[in-house]
Amino acid sequence: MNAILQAWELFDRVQALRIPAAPHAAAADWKDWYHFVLWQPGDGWRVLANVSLTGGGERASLQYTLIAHAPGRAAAMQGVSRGSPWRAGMARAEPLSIRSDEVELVLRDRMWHLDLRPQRLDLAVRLRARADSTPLLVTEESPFGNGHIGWGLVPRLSVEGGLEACGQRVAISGDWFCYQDHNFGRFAWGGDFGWEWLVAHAAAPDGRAITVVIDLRTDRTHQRSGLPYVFIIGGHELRKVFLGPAMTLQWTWSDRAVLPPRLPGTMATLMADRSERVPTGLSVRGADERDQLHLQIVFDAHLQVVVPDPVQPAYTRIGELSGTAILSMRLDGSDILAHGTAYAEYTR
Amino acid sequence: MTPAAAETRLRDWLMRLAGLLQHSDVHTADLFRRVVAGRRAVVEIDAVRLLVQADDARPVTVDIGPAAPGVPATVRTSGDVLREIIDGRSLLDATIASDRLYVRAGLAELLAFHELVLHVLARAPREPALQALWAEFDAGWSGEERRCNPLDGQPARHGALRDATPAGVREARSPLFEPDGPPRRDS
Repeated sequence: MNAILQAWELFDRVQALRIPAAPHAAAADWKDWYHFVLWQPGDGWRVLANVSLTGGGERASLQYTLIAHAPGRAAAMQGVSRGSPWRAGMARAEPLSIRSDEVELVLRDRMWHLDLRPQRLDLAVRLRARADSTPLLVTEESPFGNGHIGWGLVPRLSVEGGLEACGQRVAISGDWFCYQDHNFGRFAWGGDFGWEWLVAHAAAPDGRAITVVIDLRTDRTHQRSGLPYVFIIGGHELRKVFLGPAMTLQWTWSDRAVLPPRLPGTMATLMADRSERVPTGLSVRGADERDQLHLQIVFDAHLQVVVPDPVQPAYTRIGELSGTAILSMRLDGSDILAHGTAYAEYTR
Repeated sequence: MTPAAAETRLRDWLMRLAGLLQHSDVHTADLFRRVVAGRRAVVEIDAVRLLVQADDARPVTVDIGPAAPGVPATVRTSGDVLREIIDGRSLLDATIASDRLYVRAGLAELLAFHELVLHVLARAPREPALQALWAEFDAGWSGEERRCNPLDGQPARHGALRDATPAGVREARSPLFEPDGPPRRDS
């Protein structure tokens, strides 16, 4: 019973809104966002949903991004990223709720209710999701750019709901994989920071399921970095953490520069002449005296979310990548070979 | 919305946009003045046609009223094409290359107009009033109710001729922004 209570207390701490819930009370550099990634195992739908609050009096805004990758065709994406003024009453800390004409994100009795319905678009997602694994509160006030950031996550949630995308209606059912995290802090977008992050979920032929979450904080150029975290979740429990020198991440890149799809559209037009090489794959290796991991990912979808700072003329470009994953590992003396899907981010 | 009501609303929105740009920071106001001063344009959005004209004073005075029938449009598009740009279905240049956004002017004026548009897009994240103006237009101007928004076809397909043009030419800046720009032509 104590373990369950501790897990729920940890869940509450991970999810608690850190930004002051009244927009006029939040300084302009405050940010607080909830991020959901889910997919249908196999070559199925992939969905990213992100809801964020940014402080700053009359510049306070509520923003969201919704991207749906259609199965069967590489990089067939529907998506949108929009913002609206964050006015008093739109966000509450307890119980947690963030609402606008197009967004409803509510945490009630530790069940997420997410409804994103962009007006005038045939694109929507509706979720009910509950933690199905141990939450992790990784950092609370880590130095980040000119400020600090916190990060907590739930590596696996049970989820149900529905997705609508350009004439297609898809039920989100119990066989979908769902990951959720919460970032919060004070810093300026476009500062000297970056990150490399991914979540992969793979199943072995005997049915064992492994989830891998990796995070590496870097400077903007990715030349300097902190220590990577790698969390291995077997089934629903944290089984292993690789840290620091035990890990290497090796990205592979496209041979030539391309113009990636970008959101929001205003930023896409603004950067219409900015082609760049994009990640095509990632190899992650980890080893210590007991266990080993090799995760190979081939990306088949890439999009950039460009996040402008609301105060300074500066931007952070978040590359959103997804593709297929092959995981081979030795864990507690047992060898596992699993195939699945991965979703990753690489900032610029 | 009746045609007359649509004309009034579009006029009000364009007047507000002109006011926001004129009373923004010095750089924005200067760009705006250099682009519009002493010029006139017929703007047509979903068949609502308005004549926009600016005098040569400092600051410029912008006047917007009905366009006479038969006068060809300088800028012609639809509300949904503007939504496609804002929502990321198409880049601005892709909507022009595909003729869904038609603009007609001299090269100097076109380059200057393009630079002003990009400047406004860059400022918009820091300008709640610009965001509010777009939100009003998006909510109040008719259009398709449930559009698809695929992201894979954002860039323009200009073809080999444009692709082979040197970058220095493609990135040329309008002479309107030179300290002593070329003599102005009425467009």
